[in-house]
Amino acid sequence: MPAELLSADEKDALQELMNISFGVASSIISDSLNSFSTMPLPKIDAMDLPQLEAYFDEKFRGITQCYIVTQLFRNRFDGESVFIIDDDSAMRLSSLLLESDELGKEDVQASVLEITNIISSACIGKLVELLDAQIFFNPPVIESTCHIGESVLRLSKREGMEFTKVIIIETKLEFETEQITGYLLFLTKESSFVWLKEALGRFLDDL
Amino acid sequence: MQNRIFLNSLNHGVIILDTDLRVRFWNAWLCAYTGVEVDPDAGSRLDVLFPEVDVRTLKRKIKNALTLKTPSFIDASVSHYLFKIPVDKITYSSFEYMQQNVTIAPYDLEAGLVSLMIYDQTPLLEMKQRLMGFNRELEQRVKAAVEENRRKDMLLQQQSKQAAMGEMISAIAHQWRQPLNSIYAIAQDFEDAFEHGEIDKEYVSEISQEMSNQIDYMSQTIEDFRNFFKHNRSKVYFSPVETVKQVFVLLSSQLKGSTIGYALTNDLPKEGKLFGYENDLKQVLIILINNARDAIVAATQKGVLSHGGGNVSIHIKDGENGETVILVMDNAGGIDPKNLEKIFEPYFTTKPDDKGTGIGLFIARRIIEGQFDGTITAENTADGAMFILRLPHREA
Ligand SMILES: Nc1ncnc2c1ncn2[C@@H]1O[C@H](COP(=O)(O)OP(=O)(O)OP(=O)(O)O)[C@@H](O)[C@H]1O
Ligand SMILES: [Mg+2]
Repeated sequence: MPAELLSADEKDALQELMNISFGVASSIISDSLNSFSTMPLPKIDAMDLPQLEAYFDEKFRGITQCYIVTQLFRNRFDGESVFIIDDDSAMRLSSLLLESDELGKEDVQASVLEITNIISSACIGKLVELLDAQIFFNPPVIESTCHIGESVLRLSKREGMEFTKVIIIETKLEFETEQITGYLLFLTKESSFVWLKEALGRFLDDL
Repeated sequence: MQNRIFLNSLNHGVIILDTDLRVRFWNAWLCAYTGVEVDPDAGSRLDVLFPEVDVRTLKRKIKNALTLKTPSFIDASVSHYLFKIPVDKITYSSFEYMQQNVTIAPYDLEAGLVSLMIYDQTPLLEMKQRLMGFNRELEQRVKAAVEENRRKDMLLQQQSKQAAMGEMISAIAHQWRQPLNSIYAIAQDFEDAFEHGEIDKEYVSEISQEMSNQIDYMSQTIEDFRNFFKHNRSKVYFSPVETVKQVFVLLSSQLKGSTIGYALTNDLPKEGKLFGYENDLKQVLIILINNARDAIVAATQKGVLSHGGGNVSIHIKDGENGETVILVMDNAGGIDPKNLEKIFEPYFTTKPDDKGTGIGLFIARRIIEGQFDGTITAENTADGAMFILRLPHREA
């Protein structure tokens, strides 16, 4: 890995903020799923966008099909959260959420959209709240694919959105009986990333 | 509600709901589209007004919006609608009910109120559906076209193989005519000799020597053709001059039979070498020489060319860019200029059905471009047609 994008302190600060967010998200999800779940503290990583493809080739080796859900958020902290979950996990998540085993494709998609919205709002919402900013959320959008790295890169190259940095948050939902793994990414513009680093600095100073 | 005028003028639906799904506000847009009026003080519940509402999901999303202080969403493309609003049946639509995107946003955290914004997505989704249908159709058509092409290509390859076989068999027939005639004459002579009592040891050994010679020649012919058809599928260095010579030997009887002269001139400064499948170049030369022969025979029949005046000449030289150039020329009057563009197309022929299928030059071009990275072009000279092969030098 080339020069770290976040300093150890900044990483700690982000970790702390995410821990709070994940606490909130996990209690909401437990509530929603009527089943006790915990979300272990997330693993956090940051990198330049072009490195992402290789990262996912590694992580998703052997997984053929997955859902990619994207949700734009805009304001001073401009970016997009991307939630990635493999088909199988999505199916299990959906049957927990909708309390049914006979689910159509659209049911699974609706569930994936809902969970993405919860996790992404919890994390980004908390982040900007603690960093003292306002943010506007677009509705999440879904796509089904088998080329994760490639798809994410394509997403990041859409007209007018020059995202260059990515923060990776590896999430797990642990239930009594099973474990569901997903990945949450925050793609940000260069300027937003700089702003985030500054804000993390201020957050550290206030401690 | 002080925003009443504003909310009623919006071009989408707005509902204010409490956590028990009681309707606290219902804007004018919704009245217009549903035909339902709601008195905010009556405490009517949305799921009573519209029993199709998925209560569990809606309550969950409301709760999440209030807890997270961020909106939750319902996506028209997967969930279709929150409640049923029939689509105007006068305009054609593939949807029975309005397709709705819904944003559930916190409205009053203390009072536990949320606002539901309802956006009509029907026209958009309809477009999307049509586009998808259109794409599917397009995909199918492309697939069918590709399949058709593949089929045609296979047919073409089969035909070209058959054509080459046909050329060969007729060439063998010509090659054998002369030795067969000799053997026939020997048999006749044998009979005469017997009648005249001339058969002695010396005579027999002379005859058997003569027969062996002819039979050897015939076997050699067969061997040459077998070599030609042998698919030695490895690329080798070969001398184009030798290749042309061998092809002339293969076709010599046939050309002589039609009293067509042939000649090779070689202008290569040193012994030239090409790299590739030698038999493929032979096939191209046979195609070109046979075309010249056909043209000469036709011109002779028309009286444009004197009997015995037809000529095929091949000239080999170096090109300007270091490539080997092979010119195949005849003196049969050339190609109609309006056809010059078309002669390399598959199935283009000016010959009667039983004489030509029109694939010769198509195959020739495919071999020269595909196997040798070269070019083949045609032009007319003062006397006839000239085909120009440019074959770049390549390393193994
Ligand atoms: N040397 C030539 N002189 C005049 N016309 C020629 C000559 N060579 C080719 N042509 C023209 O080009 C056409 C296409 O030639 P091509 O070899 O592709 O097909 P073909 O000879 O008609 O049929 P076949 O498939 O049996 O070879 C011929 O029909 C003829 O009109
Ligand atoms: Mg021909």
